[in-house]
Amino acid sequence: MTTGRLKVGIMSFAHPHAGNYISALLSRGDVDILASDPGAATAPSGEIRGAEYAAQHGAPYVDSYEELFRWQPDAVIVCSENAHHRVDAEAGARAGAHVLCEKPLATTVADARAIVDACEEAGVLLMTAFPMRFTPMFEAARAAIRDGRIGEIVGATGTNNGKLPVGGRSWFVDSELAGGGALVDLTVHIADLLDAVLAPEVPELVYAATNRILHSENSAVTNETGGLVNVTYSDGTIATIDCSWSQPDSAASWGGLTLQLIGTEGSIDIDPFALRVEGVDEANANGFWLGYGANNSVPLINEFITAIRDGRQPEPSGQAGLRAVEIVAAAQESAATRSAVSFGEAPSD
Amino acid sequence: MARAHAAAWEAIGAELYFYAPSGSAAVADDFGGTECSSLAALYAAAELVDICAPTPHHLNLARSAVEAHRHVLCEKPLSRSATEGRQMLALAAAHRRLLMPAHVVRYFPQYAAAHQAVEDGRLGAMAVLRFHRSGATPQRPWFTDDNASGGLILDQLVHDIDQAVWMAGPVATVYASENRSERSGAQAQTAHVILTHRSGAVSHCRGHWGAEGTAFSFGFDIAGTLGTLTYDSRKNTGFEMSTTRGASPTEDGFMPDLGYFTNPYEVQARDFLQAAQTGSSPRTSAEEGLYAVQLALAAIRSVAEHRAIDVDDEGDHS
Repeated sequence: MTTGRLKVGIMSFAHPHAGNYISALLSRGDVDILASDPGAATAPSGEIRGAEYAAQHGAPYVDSYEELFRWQPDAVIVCSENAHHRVDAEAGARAGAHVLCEKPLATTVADARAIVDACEEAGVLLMTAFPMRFTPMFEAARAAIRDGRIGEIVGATGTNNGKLPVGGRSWFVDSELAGGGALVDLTVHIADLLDAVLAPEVPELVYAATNRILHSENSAVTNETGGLVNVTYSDGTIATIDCSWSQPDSAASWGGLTLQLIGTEGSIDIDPFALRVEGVDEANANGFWLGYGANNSVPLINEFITAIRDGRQPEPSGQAGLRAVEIVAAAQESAATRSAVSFGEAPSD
Repeated sequence: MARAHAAAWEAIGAELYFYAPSGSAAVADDFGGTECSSLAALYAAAELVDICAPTPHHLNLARSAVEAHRHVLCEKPLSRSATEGRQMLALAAAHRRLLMPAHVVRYFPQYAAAHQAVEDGRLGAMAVLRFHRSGATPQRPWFTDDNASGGLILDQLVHDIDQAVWMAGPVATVYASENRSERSGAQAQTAHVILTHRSGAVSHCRGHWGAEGTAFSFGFDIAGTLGTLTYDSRKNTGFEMSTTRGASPTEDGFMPDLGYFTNPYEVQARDFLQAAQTGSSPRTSAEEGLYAVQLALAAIRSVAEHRAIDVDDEGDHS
């Protein structure tokens, strides 16, 4: 049990979720925060980072991680570019801080495993930031499945389609920093939801077909922009994930996520972003799109803080993050070799 | 399927003749038609032939029909095997008769509208396509006998495989997974087919035969470089009723609810009639019906061999 005020450090503003986490932390009233974004110095011009971003979100700020760790945080939230998660999470663990890491946990299986190991060795808790776990629709689906309302799950189709994420943060389409394209950015959310629903079943066979047809005219985009990932689980359940940046630039919203679960006695469709009021807007051809769904960052942050205070493992765990990275790695291998990949055979680098 | 086809022919004013080995008096009665005592009697009476028999009978029925100089509309899938399908095409060509596979989904106005937009270039280059279809497991036993029907993939998913080809063109690679659950005694099976088109576009087709009571539903999501299209039969129905007078009678779940749009079976029958009478090209050629069968067979093979199957220009795979 940890009582009293908790000190939470924010490492990097590379991922725009940082702002959501800051406001969720500030709204609790029982934590102090300090942020640092040393990557701001080398970030592309025009992207709001560093002290300016901190000021916008009301977070106290220091220039370096050294200063951040000198503050002796109880926990850190890693919001850096995907490829930097490992070094940042390891630094946090070495400093004795519990770690909440943005998804995907890492860009390679080896890095993800290293993060899990580093946290275990340091005796700190590790949580992966999968906010879709906290949508009330997913919780309702899990409860219905647990109660046997649709029988046994036999198959699933998940979609996570978004706009090409180049607006505020160009690193999302950088091979090195992101670790890949749409496959890396969009597969893990659904993979994690399926992991949660199907546990203890594990993936056995992964197949992925990808292309770079959408946004092929954009020279900054060097990775896949469209993809389908098919997973066969140990109990025979089959699932496909559409992980494509297929939401057109002119769409009224960034994109969305859906999951259909088919059981022996029924089916469930969840569409967390369906909570919206639509209408025609004389000032905007895309029309009104007034989303009223809850901010999933709040329950996610609450889980992290509550688990630290209770001294228990937060969910989704680092292991869950690792399992999602394993699916992405197998899918990347499958897309590259154009053949199905038996799980466990995927390269672990 | 015979009833859906008969209703369409009746609606466009055709004179109907029926033949089935087990007797067709009941259907003939319902549609004001005449029951024939033999195939020969049927061919003598009817100008056009519509084959609604189980898939393994398509070849022999098509052969006798074209030999009797009759144009043939044949229920999908065209055939159980590629060899049989090729024989059917050869027979139709030899007798200069029309052989049209009844890929009725091409006549559903939602799919037709989407195809038109794709053809007109309004979506740009096709990139990622998804098609889905759910229905109750068919009650007639031959449907669930793989040897006869080819199962879920050849009988149901062949519709969406054909749609994927119609929208995004020929296919280079087929991968599929299937789950037939024996658990908890309930009948439910699902299959996923992933097609990589020659253009590079990728398509996902998801089929589902569910337990009794499963509602029929279908839809698609198509993304191209210039835009997206989406349709789900469960939405935008045009009519929703809430009543306190108890549950509504359940549909059989094997056939789609045609709701408030133009009956696609009727449009299909008219297209066949016009092609037979004028020599115009029907919306689906025999070659396209055969190609859909070949891709479905590649998917079935992919399930059995747990690997992606490459398909050549003729639709064959090795």
